[in-house]
Amino acid sequence: MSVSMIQLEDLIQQEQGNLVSDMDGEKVMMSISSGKYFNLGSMGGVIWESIAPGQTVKQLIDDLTDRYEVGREECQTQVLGFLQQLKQEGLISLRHS
Amino acid sequence: MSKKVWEQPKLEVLDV
Repeated sequence: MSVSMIQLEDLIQQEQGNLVSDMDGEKVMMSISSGKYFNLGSMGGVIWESIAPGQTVKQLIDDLTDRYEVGREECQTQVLGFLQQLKQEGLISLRHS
Repeated sequence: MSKKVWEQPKLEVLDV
C-alpha cells in the first residue's frame, strides 16, 4: 500500500460523520463509516480542535509550537506522524493548496 | 506567557 507523504502546505480538513466526546480530558471518537472507536489522547484532542477550516499543516504546527514547550523539528515530526494516522483511518483529508 | 507541556500525540484504535 503506498502512502503519500503529507506536505506542510497541504490543507487539512476534518471528515464529517465522526462522533466526538471528551472523556477524562482525552478525546474519544467514533467513526460512523468504519464503526471504529479511537482515543486521540489529550494532545491528540488539542490537535483535533486546532484543525480549523482552510488551515495548512504548517499553520497548525506554528500554532502548536507557539503554545507548547516543544522544538519545531520535534513538533513537526510528531504531528506529521499523527496526521498520517488520522488520514489512514479516514478521520481527516488533506489536499494540496 | 508560559508555554504548556508538550506530549507526543498518539492515535489509539480501541477494540470495542
